[in-house]
Amino acid sequence: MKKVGNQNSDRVHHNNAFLMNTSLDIILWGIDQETACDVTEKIFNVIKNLQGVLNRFDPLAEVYRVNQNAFEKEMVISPVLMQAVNQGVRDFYQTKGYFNIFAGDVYSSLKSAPGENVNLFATALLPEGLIEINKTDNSIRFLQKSVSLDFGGVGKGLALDGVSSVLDDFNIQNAFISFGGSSVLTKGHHPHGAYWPFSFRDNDVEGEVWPLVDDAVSVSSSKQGSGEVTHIFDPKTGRVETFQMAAVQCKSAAIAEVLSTALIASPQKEHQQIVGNYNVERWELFQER
Amino acid sequence: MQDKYQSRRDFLKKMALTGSMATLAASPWLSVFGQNSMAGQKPSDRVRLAVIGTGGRGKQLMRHLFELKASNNVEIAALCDVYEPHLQEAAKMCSEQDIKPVLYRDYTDLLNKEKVDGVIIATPLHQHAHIAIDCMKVGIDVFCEKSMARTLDSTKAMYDAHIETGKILQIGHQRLFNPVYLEGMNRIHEGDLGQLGQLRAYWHRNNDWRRPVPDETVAMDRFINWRLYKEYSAGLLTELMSHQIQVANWAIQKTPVAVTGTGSIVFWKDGREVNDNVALIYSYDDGTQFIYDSMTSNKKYGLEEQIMGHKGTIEFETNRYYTETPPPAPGIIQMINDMESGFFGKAMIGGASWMPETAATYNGEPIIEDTDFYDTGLQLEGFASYIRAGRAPEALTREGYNASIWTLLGEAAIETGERLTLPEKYII
Repeated sequence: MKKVGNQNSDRVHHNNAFLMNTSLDIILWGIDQETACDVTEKIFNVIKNLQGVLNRFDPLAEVYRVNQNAFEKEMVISPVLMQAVNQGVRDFYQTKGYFNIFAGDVYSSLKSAPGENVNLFATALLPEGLIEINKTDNSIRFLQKSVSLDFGGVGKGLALDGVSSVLDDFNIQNAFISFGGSSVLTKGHHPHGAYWPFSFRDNDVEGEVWPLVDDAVSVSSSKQGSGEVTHIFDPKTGRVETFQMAAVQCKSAAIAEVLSTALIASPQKEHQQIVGNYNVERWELFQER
Repeated sequence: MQDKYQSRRDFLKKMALTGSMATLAASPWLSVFGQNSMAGQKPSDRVRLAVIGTGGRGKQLMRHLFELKASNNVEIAALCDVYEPHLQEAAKMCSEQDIKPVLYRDYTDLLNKEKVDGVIIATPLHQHAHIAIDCMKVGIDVFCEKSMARTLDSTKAMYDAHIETGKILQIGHQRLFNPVYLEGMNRIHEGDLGQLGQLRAYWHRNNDWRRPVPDETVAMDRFINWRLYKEYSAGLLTELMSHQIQVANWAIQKTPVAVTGTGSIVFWKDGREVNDNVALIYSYDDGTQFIYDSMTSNKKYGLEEQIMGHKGTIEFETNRYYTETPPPAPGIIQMINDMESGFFGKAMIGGASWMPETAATYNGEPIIEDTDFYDTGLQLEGFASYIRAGRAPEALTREGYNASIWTLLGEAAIETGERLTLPEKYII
């Protein structure tokens, strides 16, 4: 844990790590260094554990194993994964199908061959037609071979919601936690202001400050990386919709992530209704200039 | 090996391209590689070598010599082994290369009859000292496989003979010629890892470490499986750990001040005398610790040396460097600066850097990109060059000596159960 700076250096702590394929920055203030170290270690462990469940590319991760086997046989899954799957079903309906955790293979195909004919069968069905969930014994079974769980669009949000619980457990009053600037969680406020003055680093969409107090923000773009590769599609058509970037502010980092992705994926006419299904403080869409 | 072998010229070119000339400058034993005319092709420039000990390791060294003999004007003039099958196998290998070395069963005959410039000693450990000393005393430069010798006294005697005769005594710690280690050590010594705290190393295998014995006699078993008997070897310590404590000493640029250890035969209870399971801690005067373990009944963790400082970690065997502090995302530093300076300005942090989950986690960075170098071959090229130059950098001998001495002291620590320091008479 690095103590930062000259003034107030006994109160401002920064640490970072590479987790979930992104740089995670943790900024805490108003606590002693020992507490900051304890909190940071706990945060890293919570995220690593979640990564060990949700990573669909790691053969040791639970989702990878489920994706390999759940069409062939019923699989008992962990409570963490069951909760994420159930929330995925709710999010499917609340986003009118524009956020779909069951269509990992479809998204992979669209990303690898955008514009080409991709079988959208897995996104044409409701969750009940894709997956059988047995809450009695915590088991699931895929009903279609093309079903594949993919938490890539919500994983960091789920992680930050877990981080929020850690911060509460430690009674941390002021924190700014950022997953690469795309998923942000705040507690309390900046030491020299009444809120955290969040803004955007992209000059093209530079706007006013979004004041954050105990808030989360998610920023999603239809394209990613230096190659500007399209990675969010309308799951029903396979096409890219109008807007290039979406930002959503609400109390839950996972909901913010779900919504920012769904708003990019869906046609404009659906936006008000989708957002209306959640408790959102602020949202905005940006066009490429 | 033919396709991948990279000579000292390739090595130098690579180090220059990767901006690693500072590494070369910091490694005096490599300076001879930079001398363009060192391998003259005239018969009078030829370096005549003999290989004493033509078992598995000796034959491996010979294969490297085959690769470099033309470019380095090296001749394999003689072979020696007391075990006829090994000698004949080595002779056959040479024959296939159109090389006709003279064969000897007794190294003293070789010393009496052959005029060689250097010998390569790859015998069992307990034979290193007397052969090396005899060679140096008759004016022959020596390349000896690690570990140097079986006992503290014989190790010191080898070193003393080197000093008294002025002959080269190079010990086969090939990592000293490995570009990954050279570049990594340069970074460590430049402070890139910060203050070193712990160095950890391990070497885990899962086999009985036995070689086939032609007959069932006890004598032949002890002869072939010399690594399993204390009279000839300290087992895992001299055969494996000696490499890794050399790396630790090199990284810390010191030798230890004390060692504690423990060991046991926990799995291979087959009549062997050396431990199949050891753990040691070496302490240095600056507070750093070298923590070591080795076993032969589990191979999950394999082989590694981990150098851990407060800024980063190097794992040499897998060619990885890990920073303790990945660069913060854009905007984070500005916000921290604002917080510490009392300024309340907007934090331009938000951006669409959403990354898909991929197979990649943070696996560090390679220390160098191209690792297709044969460090064992490079060290033999070095040996030929030192012979031609008439001397070798003393640092090379000292690295081998200190690794060997502290390996053997580790054995003593295990056997006595005590924390041991090095007796004054062994300090060089």
